[in-house]
Amino acid sequence: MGEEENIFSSIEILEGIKKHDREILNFVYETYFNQLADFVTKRRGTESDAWDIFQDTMGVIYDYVHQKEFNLEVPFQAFFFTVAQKLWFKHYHKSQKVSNFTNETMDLIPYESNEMLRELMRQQIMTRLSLKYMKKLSPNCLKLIKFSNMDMDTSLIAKKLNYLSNQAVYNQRRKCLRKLLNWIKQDPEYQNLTDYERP
Amino acid sequence: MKDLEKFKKYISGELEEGDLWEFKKSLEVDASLAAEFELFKSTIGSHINKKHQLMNELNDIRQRHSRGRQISISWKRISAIAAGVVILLSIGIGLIKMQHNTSYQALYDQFFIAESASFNVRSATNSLEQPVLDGMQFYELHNYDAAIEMFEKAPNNLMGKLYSGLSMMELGEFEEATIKFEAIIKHNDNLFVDQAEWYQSLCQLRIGNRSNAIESLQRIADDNGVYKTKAIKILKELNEY
Repeated sequence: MGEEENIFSSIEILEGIKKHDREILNFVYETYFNQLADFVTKRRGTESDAWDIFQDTMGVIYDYVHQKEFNLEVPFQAFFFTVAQKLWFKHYHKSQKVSNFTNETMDLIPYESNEMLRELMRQQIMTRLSLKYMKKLSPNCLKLIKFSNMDMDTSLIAKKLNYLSNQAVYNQRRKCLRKLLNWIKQDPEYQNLTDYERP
Repeated sequence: MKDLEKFKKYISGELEEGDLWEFKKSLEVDASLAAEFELFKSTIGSHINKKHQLMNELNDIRQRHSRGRQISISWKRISAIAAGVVILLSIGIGLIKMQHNTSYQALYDQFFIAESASFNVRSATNSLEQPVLDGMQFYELHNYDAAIEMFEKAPNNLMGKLYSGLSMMELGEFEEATIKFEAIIKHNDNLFVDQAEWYQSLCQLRIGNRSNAIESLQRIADDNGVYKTKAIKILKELNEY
């Protein structure tokens, strides 16, 4: 891994990711993306697959460092590649690109964290799929989700978007999310998740 | 789907003990609720905005690196020059396409005038079902999502279809809107065919589907309907008349 690896400690990297520190994000990309791309392309994946895995890995790590009980017991590099490998196997196991699926890669991480990571990985895949399909939603649905995200009071949302009642906001938001869920369910990536992994 | 407020309370740890137990149990036994909860967490759940921001930052970093790499490679390998030419050509074609799309959009903006619901409501009140009337009210209030929801409750009502299509146009859902208009045109024996044909042409134009738009506009221009003059104007703009 060369000299660069020692520029930041594992904790500094995790703290940097948590705070969106541009220098740290750059460092992680420059240090790990090529290695990950190498790993993926040698296993019949593409660079674009590698980029999806990189983003998912960072998303999982981001969620992980926001957990109350967050505690890193392995170096960042091991943590990063353990998550990335697991995600790669998870994504491509069903599409036959990877023939030998194994959970061994998770063994680097303590059992309790393993369980939590599985949950975060599933959540991350849903997040990426949501982002992908949110673009298809109508402007009104997008506004509704955006305002809900901002924790805006329901009656204020109703006023801003011309709904007659709070119930109308609930109904419409439900409708928007259902539409989104239906699109996500059609996505091969969602269908590739095993029943255990699928929410 | 249950009220999403409960999802929020669960995530923020605000559910009371009884509700908490009931909610957890529901998640275990109700797969569709579990799926909706999962989706909620990835769209509205806590810190999702910041996570989306992180993803955008990573994309930005990657783009900067990719640009840098493209420049250095282009000086090293002649084949890259060819690739560059292809990229430039693609950009050129893309720009031309974009320009076309922009001019189609400009024409659309020039000719699309939101239809008022009141005239049609007055002229067809007797045949209207309650959901369509409700839908019209939402349409007048510019609450197009709610209007569509109402119109969907009366799927065979042709006026409902027309205003459902118009609501979709207002929401930028042009492809979905054409389906509504096509159904009216196909039905043929109704008062709304002229309007449906006109708005369908505008949707085709807005989507950038030039040949379909022209075909449809020419039909309107050949007819003696109320949209004849406007159709001819657009065809002239497109150098097709």
